[in-house]
Amino acid sequence: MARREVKRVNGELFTMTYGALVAQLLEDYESDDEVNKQLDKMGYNIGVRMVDDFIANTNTERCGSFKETCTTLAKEGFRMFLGVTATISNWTADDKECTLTIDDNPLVAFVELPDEHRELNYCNMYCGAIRGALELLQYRTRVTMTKDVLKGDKDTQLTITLLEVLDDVPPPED
Amino acid sequence: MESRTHPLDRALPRVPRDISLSTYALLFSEVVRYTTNRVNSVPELEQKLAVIGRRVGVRLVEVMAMRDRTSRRRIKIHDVLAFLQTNLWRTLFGKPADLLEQVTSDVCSYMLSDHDMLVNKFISISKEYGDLNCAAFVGGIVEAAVDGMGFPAEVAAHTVEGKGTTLLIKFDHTKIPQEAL
Repeated sequence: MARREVKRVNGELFTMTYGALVAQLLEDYESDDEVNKQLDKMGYNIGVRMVDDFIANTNTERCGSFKETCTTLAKEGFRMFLGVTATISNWTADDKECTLTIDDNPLVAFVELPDEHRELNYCNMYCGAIRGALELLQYRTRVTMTKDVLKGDKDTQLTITLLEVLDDVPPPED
Repeated sequence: MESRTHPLDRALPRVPRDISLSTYALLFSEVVRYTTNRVNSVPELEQKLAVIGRRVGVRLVEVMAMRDRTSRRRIKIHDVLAFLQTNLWRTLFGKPADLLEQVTSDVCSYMLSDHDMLVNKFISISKEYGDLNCAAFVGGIVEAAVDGMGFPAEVAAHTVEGKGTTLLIKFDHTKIPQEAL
């Protein structure tokens, strides 16, 4: 496959496959909380792989700081993988926490959250994916959903908190 | 649901937007990984994937029908098959399916083949999974689609030497009227 040629598929197939997965999880687990955890876990696995894909397909310069990394992730990462842009705002004074806003969230296109699943963070996979991606880049973070369109908010917002900068440890055989 | 418009009140975009293939591949592989951890056998795994596929199929065909300006009802089995090969495949994978054949001796069984099944491109199957074909998911989509058109069928995905992935579509004899054949 030629590099940099980004192949594309029907976005609705994607949206519906995600929905079908969430439906399956709700069937398999008893609490919304457990489903949130599973979605986060799956997101993590995806995020870790996305970083590789991103670096292989773009000419992005190395990001020097956590702030810069988050901005690149929001702007270029989201555009490359989801075709939408996200914005970063509300940095705390120590540059360790920020808010990521997804303007036009593709996952929720056909979704209505039933009343009995008010605790479900339908888009929780985002949190895992961002955490996974940042962890591969040596930033251990906590990512939580703070605003959810499905619960009546105007947009989807996540809060990213930097917990620890991991040491760049080479694999033992190097 | 205070400020948000209901999904049904929003206009359906005329052309669905695209998404990066890698994103889809990663999501699908998580679906497969998750399902694998919850079953004990390959047939059970394929069955579960088909259930997930069916959920997608029902919804996808509904949006397709809404976009379809011809609003023609497909009442012949061959129209239904042509719909699968062309319309459904184009919507799903951006190209028609490669081959459609009737199983000799049976007017209700057909094989729909794709040399390069999108969902299988990124899944490598280890030995202990033998003849697993993750296109069972696509089989589920097809099952839901034909069911919605009034042509219930059982669909199974097989790996066939030289043809890639073949979906064996077996329509239910008892439910297909003679004049549809």
